[in-house]
Amino acid sequence: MKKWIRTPGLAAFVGLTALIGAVWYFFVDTWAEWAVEETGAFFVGAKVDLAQADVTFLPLGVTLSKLEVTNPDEPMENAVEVREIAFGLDALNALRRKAIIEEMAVEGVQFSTPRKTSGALPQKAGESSTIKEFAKDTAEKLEIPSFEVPDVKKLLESEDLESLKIVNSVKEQIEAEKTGWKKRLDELPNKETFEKYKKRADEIKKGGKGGAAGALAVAGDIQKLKADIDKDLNAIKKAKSDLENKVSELQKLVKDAKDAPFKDIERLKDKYGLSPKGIANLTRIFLGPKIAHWTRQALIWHARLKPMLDKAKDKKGEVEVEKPARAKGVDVKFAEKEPLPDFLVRKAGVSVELEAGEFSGEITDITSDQPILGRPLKLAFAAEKLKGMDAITLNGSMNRVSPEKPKDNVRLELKGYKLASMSLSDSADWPIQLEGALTDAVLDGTLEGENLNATIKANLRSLKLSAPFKKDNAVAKAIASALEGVNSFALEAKVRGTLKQYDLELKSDLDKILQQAVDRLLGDLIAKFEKELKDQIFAKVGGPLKELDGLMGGFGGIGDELSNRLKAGSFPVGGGAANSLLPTGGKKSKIKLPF
Amino acid sequence: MGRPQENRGRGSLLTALAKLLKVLNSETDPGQISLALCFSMVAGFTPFFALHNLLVLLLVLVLRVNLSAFSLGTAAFSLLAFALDPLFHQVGLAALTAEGLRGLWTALYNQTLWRVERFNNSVVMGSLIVSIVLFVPAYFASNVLIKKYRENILQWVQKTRLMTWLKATKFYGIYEKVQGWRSS
Repeated sequence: MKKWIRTPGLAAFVGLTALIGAVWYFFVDTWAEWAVEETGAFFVGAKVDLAQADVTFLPLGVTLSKLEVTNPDEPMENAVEVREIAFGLDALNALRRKAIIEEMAVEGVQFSTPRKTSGALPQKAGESSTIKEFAKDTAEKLEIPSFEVPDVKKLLESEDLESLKIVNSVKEQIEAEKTGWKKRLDELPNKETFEKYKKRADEIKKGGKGGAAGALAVAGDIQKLKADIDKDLNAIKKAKSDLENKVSELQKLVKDAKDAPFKDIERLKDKYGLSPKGIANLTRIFLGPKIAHWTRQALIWHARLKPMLDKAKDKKGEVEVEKPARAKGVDVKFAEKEPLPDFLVRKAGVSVELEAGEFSGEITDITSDQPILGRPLKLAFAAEKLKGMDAITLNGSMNRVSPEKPKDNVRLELKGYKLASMSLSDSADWPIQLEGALTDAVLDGTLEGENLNATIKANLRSLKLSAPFKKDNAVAKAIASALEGVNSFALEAKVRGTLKQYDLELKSDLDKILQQAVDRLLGDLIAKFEKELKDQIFAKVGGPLKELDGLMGGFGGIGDELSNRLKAGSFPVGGGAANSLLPTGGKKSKIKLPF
Repeated sequence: MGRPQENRGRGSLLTALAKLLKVLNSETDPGQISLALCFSMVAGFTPFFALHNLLVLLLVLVLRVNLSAFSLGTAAFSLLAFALDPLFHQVGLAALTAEGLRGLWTALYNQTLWRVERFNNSVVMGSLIVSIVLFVPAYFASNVLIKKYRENILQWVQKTRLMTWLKATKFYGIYEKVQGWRSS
């Protein structure tokens, strides 16, 4: 037995274990710091810096100092900077690999602080396809009309006129039909055919023999003649009817061809921004891009935060298979007697340092396992009498209790918010600067699955706008003057749709003011543009259009010819001797012919 | 800059080979070497910082097993584990999701000690199962192989041209040095 036991080994084990413990103790702060920075960078897609992490064992707790989260879109700026985060951990649950935090204190939160060094990562590994989709920046690219009458001649050089194509196509169709009808006329019975029938009728009359047998023979010949004439007349009648239908069809095409130049005019008016509907919502035109940009930014940040609440899970039978973010293998979860999430902050007191002052509140039930906890994350912040703001409240929730029906909502209310100078339109030609205003605003937003529904209502007063437009025309001057004269307006923006495809609807009483300012001027411009377009387009299309009328006239000749042929075929075949020879059944009668 | 590092790398490989030969050629009981290799298989196959490896370390230190064989084996099995991880994952997942074992796993899952062990991870479970299943067969197979080596191959190895050549190289110097450690 002694051969197999090494007693000093026990001491070596104790020593080695103590050594491992000591190394862990001395390096745990560094490891914690590294873990926070790496995990943060993975989620955000940009550098996350932590000045210091301090892990204490009695009681078990962590204090993180100066956390800086880079804004991935602005690497020289921190999206969020936090002076200190302190929390205690439930030791027993920590051993069970569960971070259960009863209370967390987040002090000194600041937004958009400058960085000394760039926080860009060589590769944004954490960026999901959804974020990349948002980053495409499509909603903001709204076209602002130039409000200038373009050179119509130059414009038409580069434009394909639909009307010209239609007119030429109709012309070709009419010509083809005419050729076809000429051929058909040649194939139809004509005057000579009917002259022959007349001769045949005369011969039948002359050749009639007396007696009942002779009368029957004449009647038989007349019946045969009548059938032949009927057949030919029906063919002409059918041709006439076909011609009428075809002419009616071609007349419709000619009418469409005549309307086509006007459609071209409308299309070009819309395209070159001089249609009344193009300026119906000037607020949308000027302020839409900025609001769309803010909406996009909010959605990008939502997409970045979302993975922290959504865990990749897969059910395998009755147990849950969970993919750890960065580890080998998978963790299989089994039913717990007292189920608890892997990570839970029951209450986080957060103090945000705004320029206006301190804005504090709390976030409850922060976890990535809401179905286990059975409660959604909620946040509630409020502050009053801040510098440049009477009151601000922010309430919201992120609900993943049923992961298949996620629902997030937010409500932000601002009262008496003094807006500093800010750009309302970043367009190079149409910049609008808000020099200052007092604002009451409410934002209500809900995201249910992929469906987005948000409304912003704002009342701006005591405001001053400047509009140093680069465009130097009468309409631009009128808009600038109207904007600079505005001292209050109300705005309502609605964002509806899905995360990837949403519509922005913007209403404002500013529209009425701007519309009044530009209506007459724009009306004159539109009229001038329309007249020039009409003249130029008809100069190109007018000739071929007249030709269409001439070509259609040709069908009248064909119709007349068919009528004449019908007339030529309308002559009496029976009567006189022939009729008297027909069997009458004791009564005197005539064969009634259809013409 | 690259050359000294390259030499150092080659040196440590030679040292490892020399240690292996030293262990195999020594008079150490084959059972002690085999047991060390079996423990090293558990430590090498399974994630190093798993709780059960503390028990392995205790056993390795308290039981009179060959420590050189253990450290060499751990390094070798750790390298092998990189290639075998997909297999461990499959084995572990199959065991953890087996209907018949669900009661057992659920009971263990509710005990802190087993949660610290991280038994519910597919790679931990798979590698542990594989190393435990192979433990006894590997012990006996290793014993047989070491005996066979000492009886038949050791003499032959000493006489090979390769060994003659090796004796003339730096490697042999290291081997001698190691032998020196043993005798001191």
